[in-house]
Amino acid sequence: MKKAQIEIVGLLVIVILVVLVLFFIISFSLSNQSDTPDITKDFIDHSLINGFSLALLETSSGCAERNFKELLDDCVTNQMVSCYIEGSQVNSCVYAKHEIEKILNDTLLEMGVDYSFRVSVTGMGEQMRIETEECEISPIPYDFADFALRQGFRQVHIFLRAC
Amino acid sequence: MALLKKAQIQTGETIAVVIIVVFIIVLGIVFYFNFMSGTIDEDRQRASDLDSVSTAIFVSKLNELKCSRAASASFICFDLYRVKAFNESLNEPMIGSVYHSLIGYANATIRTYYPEQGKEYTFYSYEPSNITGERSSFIPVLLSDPVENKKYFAYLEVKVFS
Repeated sequence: MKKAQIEIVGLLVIVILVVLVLFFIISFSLSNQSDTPDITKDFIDHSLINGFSLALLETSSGCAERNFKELLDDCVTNQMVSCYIEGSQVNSCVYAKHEIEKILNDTLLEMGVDYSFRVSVTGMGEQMRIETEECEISPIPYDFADFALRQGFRQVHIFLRAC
Repeated sequence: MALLKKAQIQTGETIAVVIIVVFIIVLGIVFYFNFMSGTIDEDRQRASDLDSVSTAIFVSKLNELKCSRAASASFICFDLYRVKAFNESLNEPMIGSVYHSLIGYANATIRTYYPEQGKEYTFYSYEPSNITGERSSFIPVLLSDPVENKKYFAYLEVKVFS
């Protein structure tokens, strides 16, 4: 083999080595970027939103010995229940909205989670909406819960979305 | 003279090639070990997250604490008096060691938010002498007081120590 050929072979070996190293770097980087599910986040989001809505509805409202589910039922039907906020008499809708907002702010917002809470009735549309500005803007929820409560012939939808 | 110069150039070339090859190999080794250590840290983090979440789920599903009235399977309801009794029963060394073997080093606290805010009930507390890390999981729960006929909106915080 001629001297020039030997040098070319040497050069080729270097080029192959460089290519191999680059290949490993790129393949490792790509495998590192693969989406692995964040178990904790998924669990927290799911349990937070689903469990949150259901526990909230069963919570004592502090008005006429009713829980929030019963209060919302009254709100979307005949509004017979009277409640008090700082001594002022209000109907069940005003009271439920005021207190649910307090709970949402003390819990979700305090944890840095923006929210949108809505109550709607089939055939009557939206009856209540409590939401943070961030959730109003953001079109994509990262988790949400939607429950239907039966009230006579109508269905009451309780919708909680985290943004 | 010319021959000596040529030999010097060739030696220089060989040295340069060896330096480049060694540099590439060192670069590869450094990158590989950096990547591996990152992966190990990530795996450890994930294992710790999983441990924290599974402990939180285990604690939240303890039948000993649940409300006597069948609650919905979708949310967790704790009976305040069962929580208090459970905490007291852990003072019995035998019972305490059984739950310690099941739950491990952790702290479980229920914190109320509504109708009254700020009530705290720690019903399990087992901290290691040397804490190297901790992870908390929060689960919204209903805390029922059947005597007062009140249902509190609360959070269960399970802090797992490592």
